[in-house]
Amino acid sequence: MDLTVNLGPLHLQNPVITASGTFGWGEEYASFFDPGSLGAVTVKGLTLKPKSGNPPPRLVETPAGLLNSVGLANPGVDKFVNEILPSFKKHYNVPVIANIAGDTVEEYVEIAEMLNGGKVAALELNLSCPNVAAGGMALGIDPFLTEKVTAKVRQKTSLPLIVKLTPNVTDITVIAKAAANGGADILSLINTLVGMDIDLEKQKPVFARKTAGLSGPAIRPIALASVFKVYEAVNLPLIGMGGIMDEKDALKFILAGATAIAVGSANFYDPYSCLKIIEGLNRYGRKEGISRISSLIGRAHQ
Amino acid sequence: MSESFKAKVIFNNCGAKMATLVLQAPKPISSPSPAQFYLLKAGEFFDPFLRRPLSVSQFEEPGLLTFRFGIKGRGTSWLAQRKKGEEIELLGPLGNGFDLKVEGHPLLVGGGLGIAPLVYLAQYLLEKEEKVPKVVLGAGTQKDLRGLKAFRRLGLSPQVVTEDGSYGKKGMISDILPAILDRDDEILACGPRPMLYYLSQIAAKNNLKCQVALEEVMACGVGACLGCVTPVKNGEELSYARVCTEGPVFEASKVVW
Repeated sequence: MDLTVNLGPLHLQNPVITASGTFGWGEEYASFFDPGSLGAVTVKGLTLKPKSGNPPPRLVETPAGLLNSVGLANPGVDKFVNEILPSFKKHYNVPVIANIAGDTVEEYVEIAEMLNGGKVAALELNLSCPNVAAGGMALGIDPFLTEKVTAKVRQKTSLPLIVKLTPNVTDITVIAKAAANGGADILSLINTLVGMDIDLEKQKPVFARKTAGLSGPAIRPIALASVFKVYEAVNLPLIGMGGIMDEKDALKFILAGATAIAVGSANFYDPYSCLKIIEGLNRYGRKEGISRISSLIGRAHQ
Repeated sequence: MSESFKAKVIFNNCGAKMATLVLQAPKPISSPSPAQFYLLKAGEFFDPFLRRPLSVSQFEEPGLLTFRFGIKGRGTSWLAQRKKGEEIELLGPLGNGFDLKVEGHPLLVGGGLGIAPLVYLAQYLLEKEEKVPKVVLGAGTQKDLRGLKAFRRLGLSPQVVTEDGSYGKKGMISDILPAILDRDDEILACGPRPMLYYLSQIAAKNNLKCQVALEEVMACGVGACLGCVTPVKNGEELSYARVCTEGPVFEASKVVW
């Protein structure tokens, strides 16, 4: 089956992308399979200055999923542009999507400008990271701020612009429309859901920041519904994610309206998840006599 | 170096609080280094979701792995119930094990569940480094002393303390260690954090090297997700290190206790 997809200005060899924060810088999983076999790799969220992240514990397992409170730990966009990205591009041939997060609207623009002319294939605006005390969360739940930051970044970059949506809102389609109005090329959804756990022995929240982000198979139905609703609300290509574990999940998201899908927590469950999904999609195409995966996009709406 | 494979259970000894599993890899696997760990899939479906990191307690070429671990929750419970003939999915070996170029005399200190990886460390030191380690073990009670026979089979006679006195001397590691410590010892330890902290203090006081194996809840286990970090210091500089990648073994003087 022809697995190529067009995510707006971004042409991918297949619809399987790794989700930000779950695949490191792409090299950690290279001992298991060639990242070059993926549609794209989304690197960990980049901030203007290096961030050390939250103190441990940063992880708690939940039923069919996990809560994380990593806190955008990253070496900063400078080090990424000057060291990490060139080194990665030297060894692996796969589009790199740079996920970026700022504490203010201005910071998003500044980071975007630093990535212009670099070798990233696209920018993904993280307006929805629920682990950072300032910015992030505040921007993504407000349609006005979402449109504003998208428009400001749009002005300063000609790179394909992805806006990542948070599900922690009343109506995700409102935010989706705002991002579209701001000039986004592509929307990715969903980011993690707000959750928490309490330590029975200490009788206190497990995480220092009290709440954390929930991901994994447990959130899949919510993610799928979000993709379905946003597909009907905006006319932009979508990257669907949230609990995708295998090719069956991937197909459901594509039928719901996603042009591509991102795989995150599944990498922890099985480091070969992405590879198995690509193989599974091919198998499905052969079995069902489907020649192009793109013919399935949004079919569940017909 | 690390691979994904399914191994068959060829031996299972499961108690109420601890279990021993011996697994046979389907083909020769690369030798793990002491304190390296494997990520074991601990359920049949998506729940429990995360793999459980277990350090190797013994290894025989070309592919016989022994794990000794505590039964703490649903994941380790499921693993402890795997019967002879069943298969378990593994990923590994992972992590930075003990630095085996020990200049002085290796002194192995194990507390409770931390005793497990020290069996392999002892085996490795004897076979590959031709060093005969001193071994000091401590546990709450006799039942928690899994691996004692394995040390004996290696020709070693560990000094043992138990808190309730059910085996060996009654007391804690801190009661017997000062007398055992020699000027050229290098401590290699695994066990509860308070025990490791005590060792880091006594090592610093006596100007001895001390390596400690830490543990943390892990998600990816390969250094990608940054979920398993522990605070470390390099002089004045504080940072977070990944227990799955920079660790699990750290120089005790670098750990922020």
